[in-house]
Amino acid sequence: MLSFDAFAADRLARLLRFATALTCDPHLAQDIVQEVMIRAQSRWSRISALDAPDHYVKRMITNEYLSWRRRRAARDIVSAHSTLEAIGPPVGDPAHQHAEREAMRARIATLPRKQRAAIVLRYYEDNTDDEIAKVLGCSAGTVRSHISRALGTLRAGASDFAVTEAYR
Amino acid sequence: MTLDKTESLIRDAITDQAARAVDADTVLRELRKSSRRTRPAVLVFAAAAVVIAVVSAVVIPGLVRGERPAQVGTPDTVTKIVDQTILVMGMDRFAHTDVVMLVRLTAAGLTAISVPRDAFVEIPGHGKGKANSAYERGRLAAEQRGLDGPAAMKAGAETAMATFGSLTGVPIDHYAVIDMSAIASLVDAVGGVEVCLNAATKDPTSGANFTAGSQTLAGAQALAFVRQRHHLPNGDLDRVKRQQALFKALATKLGSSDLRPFVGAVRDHVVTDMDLVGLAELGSKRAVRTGMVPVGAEVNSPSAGFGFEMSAEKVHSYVTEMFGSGEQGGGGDTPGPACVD
Repeated sequence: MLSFDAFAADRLARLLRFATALTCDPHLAQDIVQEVMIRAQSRWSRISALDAPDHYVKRMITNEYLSWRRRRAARDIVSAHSTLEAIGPPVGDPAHQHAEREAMRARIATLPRKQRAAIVLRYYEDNTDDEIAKVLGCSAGTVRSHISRALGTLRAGASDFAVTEAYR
Repeated sequence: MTLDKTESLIRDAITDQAARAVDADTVLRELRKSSRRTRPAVLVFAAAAVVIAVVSAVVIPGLVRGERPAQVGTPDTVTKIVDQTILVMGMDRFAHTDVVMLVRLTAAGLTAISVPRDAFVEIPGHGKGKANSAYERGRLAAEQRGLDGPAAMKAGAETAMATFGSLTGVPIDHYAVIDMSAIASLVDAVGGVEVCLNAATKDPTSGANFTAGSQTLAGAQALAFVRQRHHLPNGDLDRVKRQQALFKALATKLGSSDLRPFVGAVRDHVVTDMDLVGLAELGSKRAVRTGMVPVGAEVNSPSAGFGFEMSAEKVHSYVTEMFGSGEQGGGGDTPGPACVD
């Protein structure tokens, strides 16, 4: 059986990246991952006996994020706006691509939590609808609806961005 | 999965976001440190538990006579708790009882003995486990048997009573489970507490941001005060001192406050099988002393993580001594306010 220390050494970096993608806030991600890992350690005998301990821990992280205090969530949106404003005019193709990605990153940060979690699990973790449903504790249908709404928002934002860029 | 242009952009953007993660080695070091430490704020919750027990015993009967505090169990019995052993547990939001105390009220005062959360104990019906998991294991098992919320909580408390009764060799008569998130409202309820710091300190993780010298802390600040574990000269040792400082501050404040708001704050956060109305006879018994059961070697098993081995023999004789020695000192809190780091 994998020891907790070995698990932590092996997976912590990946879990931190996942949590950072979820929260759009590296420090909140750190808090959440630390908290979850301490809890996981105290139940490690049970978690390590599971088929995929890392999935379980990922689920703990997602739940922790979804239930995180409202106060923290407000910060996401503030940072999203400031990122949007910080984007300078495009000067060339790589810069334009960069700006486009930055704008997208900022828009993802403004998504409602469950939608954002679904998007991250889909596009970053490459999970299927069923896998996402398990993590979020809802049906696959709900997952599809989260993703389609999120995509709607993000696509609308992307075309706004393109239009703005075209008229610069 | 084939992605269109926007989806590719989304993936790239999320990857960018993920790349902003903090360094894993830093977090790993933190984790290794924290696994060898008491969880933040455990002791103060223990302290608060004692204060709550005292206040419950002393004050509630006078204020809520005829009105029943939140409880599960046997609401219609009037409980006499003198010379009875009460299991007081402080529960975090993950249902771990990170505070476990055996409290005994005698004519001379109140004695509270803590069991560290990481003590490996025999949990009847569940094998060996950490002290802080006894309640939740019992509760979950009851839920699986189809019991509803309060009944499952009662079953969890009973599992914990059996666990700590056998660990200490003292039969446990009653239980009180306290929601530890109550600490901030408790401090606010007494209008803040006075503490003194040797140096100014700031720590974004806990939200601590204090100046040097004497100051009054409101509830949220008091939480940060006892949760801070970074940027302290002696790490955990300093935190323990802070927890004791907050305990004394709370106790001092209680002596001079209008206790009504405090009682209100307490009442909503306690689940107990005691009818607190029966406690009026304890009137003026205020002497409190605290101690901790002796722990054995640190073990770090791959299956259960870090913890302490416990020697039943040593625990039994310690508890017998503490509960037996009544009014003598020994392990009591030293009086007087002192500055901490």
